[in-house]
Amino acid sequence: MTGTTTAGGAGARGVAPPGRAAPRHWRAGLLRGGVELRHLLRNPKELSGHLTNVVVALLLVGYIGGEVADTATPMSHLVLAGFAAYLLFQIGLVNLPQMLVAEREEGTLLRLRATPGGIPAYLVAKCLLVVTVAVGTLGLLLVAAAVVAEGPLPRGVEGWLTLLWVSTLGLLAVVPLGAAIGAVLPNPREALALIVLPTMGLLVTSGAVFPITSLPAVVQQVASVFPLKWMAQGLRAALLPDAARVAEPAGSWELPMVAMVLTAWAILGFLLAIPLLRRAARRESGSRLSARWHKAARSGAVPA
Amino acid sequence: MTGRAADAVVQARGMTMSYGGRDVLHGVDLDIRRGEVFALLGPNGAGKTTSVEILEGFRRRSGGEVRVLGADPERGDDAWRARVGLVLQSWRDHGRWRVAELLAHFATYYRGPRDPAALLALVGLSEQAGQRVERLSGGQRRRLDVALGIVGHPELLFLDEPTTGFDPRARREFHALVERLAHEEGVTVLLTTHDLAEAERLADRIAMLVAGRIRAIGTPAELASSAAARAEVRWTDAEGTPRRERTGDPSRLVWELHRAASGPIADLEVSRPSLEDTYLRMVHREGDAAAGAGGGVGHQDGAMTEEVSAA
Repeated sequence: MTGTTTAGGAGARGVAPPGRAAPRHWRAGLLRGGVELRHLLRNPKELSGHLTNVVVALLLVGYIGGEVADTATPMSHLVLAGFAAYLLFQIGLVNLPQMLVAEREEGTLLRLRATPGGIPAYLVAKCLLVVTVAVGTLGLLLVAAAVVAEGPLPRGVEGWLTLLWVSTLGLLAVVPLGAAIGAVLPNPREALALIVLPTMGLLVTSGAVFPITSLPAVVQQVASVFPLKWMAQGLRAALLPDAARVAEPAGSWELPMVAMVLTAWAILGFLLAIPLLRRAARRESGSRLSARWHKAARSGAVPA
Repeated sequence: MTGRAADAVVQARGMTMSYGGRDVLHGVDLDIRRGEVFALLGPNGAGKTTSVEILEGFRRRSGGEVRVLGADPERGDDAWRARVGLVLQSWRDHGRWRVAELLAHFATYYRGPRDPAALLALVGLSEQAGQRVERLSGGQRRRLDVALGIVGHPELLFLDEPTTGFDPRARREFHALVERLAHEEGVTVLLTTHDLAEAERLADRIAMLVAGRIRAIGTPAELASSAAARAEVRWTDAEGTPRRERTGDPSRLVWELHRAASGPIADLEVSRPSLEDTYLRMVHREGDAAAGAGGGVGHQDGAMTEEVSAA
């Protein structure tokens, strides 16, 4: 039986010039990110998940009255800044790991591993998706709050710049960390439970939704280790007038500290994520996929 | 064949694999030639998936020499990946994507891919082009997996238990597709299956893998004739007890029986075992051996059990 290979047949395609490969990965990744984004926008369940967050934030802002400490700054503005930080945090540390775990379990990661340039394209696509969702959520939240509830917007060029760098650095702090978590968590069902509780704990203790100074000192110190407190503080610096600084534990925005802590988390995240993602991709194989699927089917989590 | 590396798409010498001290593969040798459909046949737990995952570059072997398309699969780079296509059992990925959208997307990863529309026609999914992947039936899903496996014009296609869970019609359609790929498109196919009928139907050559060892290898016709080489002779002896014996020379045995009895033999019967008989016997024998080690190969055929215990 002889092969009737078509033009440019089997033997000729053995070696690809290395210089041409990288742009193809980027192109495939960007295309992939675009399609994933379109699927997200067309999926009512997932889209409403993101929108619900924004609606909850708006309701909070609408109902909370009073002022921050002895200033004229509405309490609702402080809450909104904290909630904005929490949404970024959630995209990186809840949504992203869930997505990774689910796609690992379905075999998406394995298929991309079996595809030339598949894993780089996958990472490009995920970055595009996460950044777009983050920018979209943050933008929607601030604009909607400003329009319907007299919410805060950054003050002047300096405020916008602070918003830009705090959100960027905040995402860099949580996205690689989320990827690392997504690479090690066992399956989507357990993943949710393992991620959500600590996240909620941090939401409460990081001073995202009420002034951190009202919490015991020990709790404050523990929360200060994690990025959420600093993301919230940075966004308050961007969105609130300087007079509101008095409500901060240090009496100032501590922007250099915000930058330092978030950078440290970003570095730690990258150091963890790269080997863990590599390991997760390497460990994928057909039999592991089958084994996981059978286990899930037995536990009744999916139709067999 | 070993000397002509250009024609050997897959070459394995003494491939071994052990997990935590337990040997799963005991020195497997394989040579798969360009353009052939090669079936790795064996019961569950025989080491088929492990073998194939080593060849796919997804698993690190414990020992032996392995070349796939001229490279060690453990060090297969993107250029090598582009020459290999995979169809696994458990893919349920990209459920939200539309069929044509997914195929067109995966075409972008390759230089000179197949035309996605023509490929959909080839696998018989043109009507489902706009459908979401999660809505496909099992057979349609697997045919889409084949399309995704060959969109980059691979030289070698792995099909891992591709028809598990198919109804007879889906299975027939799938077999026709594999035949078309091999005979019209010249793709070399490595198929794993536990179904002898499937291997006989599709494969140019079959290797029987039982308990981590290749027990027989050859064309279906060669395997059938070597299986038939040892005939089974049954008769009832003078005391009225049923007897049976296996021999390469049934004519001589029958002649000796007649001489010993100096007359006719009751219930005399000479039968040539089919390939299936031989396969089931191998599986069963190893199943017994493996059961002690907790292997539990366990074949389903009850009639088989009786025959082997008597043999």
